[in-house]
Amino acid sequence: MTDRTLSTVRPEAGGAVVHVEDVYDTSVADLWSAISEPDRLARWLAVVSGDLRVGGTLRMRFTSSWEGTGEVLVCDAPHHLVVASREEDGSETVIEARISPEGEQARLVVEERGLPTDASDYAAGWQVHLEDLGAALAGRETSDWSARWRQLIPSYRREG
Amino acid sequence: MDGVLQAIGDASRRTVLDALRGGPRTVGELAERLPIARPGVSRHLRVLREAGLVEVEARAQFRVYSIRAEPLAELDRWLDDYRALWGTRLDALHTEIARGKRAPRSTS
Repeated sequence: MTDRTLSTVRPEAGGAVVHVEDVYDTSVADLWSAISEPDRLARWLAVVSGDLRVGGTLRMRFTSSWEGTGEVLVCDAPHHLVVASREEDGSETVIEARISPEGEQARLVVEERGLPTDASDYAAGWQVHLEDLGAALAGRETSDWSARWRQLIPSYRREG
Repeated sequence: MDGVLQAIGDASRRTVLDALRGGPRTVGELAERLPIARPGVSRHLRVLREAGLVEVEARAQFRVYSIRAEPLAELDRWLDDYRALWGTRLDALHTEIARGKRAPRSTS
């Protein structure tokens, strides 16, 4: 595994935004299917069930062990997906994904807003998710999420 | 204590609680170890949490569950009075056995 960091944290009113991006060796259409179809999402990010239309309520279980509900706010295939996520304790964030062509490849940019000010551990977590996406697209096995996350945390804390 | 008894009055929830004796676990790890599907594990953990038997530690996206012993200590204190009852009965058994030894029954 490389030691490059894929995520950054920037402050916003009352909290922080995590921004993570990478370029994948696949088409925009294929990348869109990997981030929007439950069968494929389950391989690298989350088991998602429920009403997958705009306004519908989702049940989401991330590989990170986070669980909660979601609501699709924007679904503009194959470029733009926005999901609001809510945990049982009431805390809410918004996850936004954008896909754009990058030559023969495709770039994915993910931002999660509404995070606490000290979001460096979240940034490390999103890197694991994007690495797992790369593995899933290449047909490789995904990581043990928490083991890889712990491994990445120190480099993000140094940056913060 | 009603909530605690209600929570442990279910075999699956006791299984979840038993599994947490070995240390903190995520929902996924519990589901891997137990013959309970993951949504079931989540549901049982919610009941156990509401009864105060389990607590969740949140660190960024990571959620890990562990046992809270306090409600069990309360249950143990309640059982104490009943333990005394058992103690008395066992003492009586010891007395009876001792008596039997001193006066062995004659065999024909």
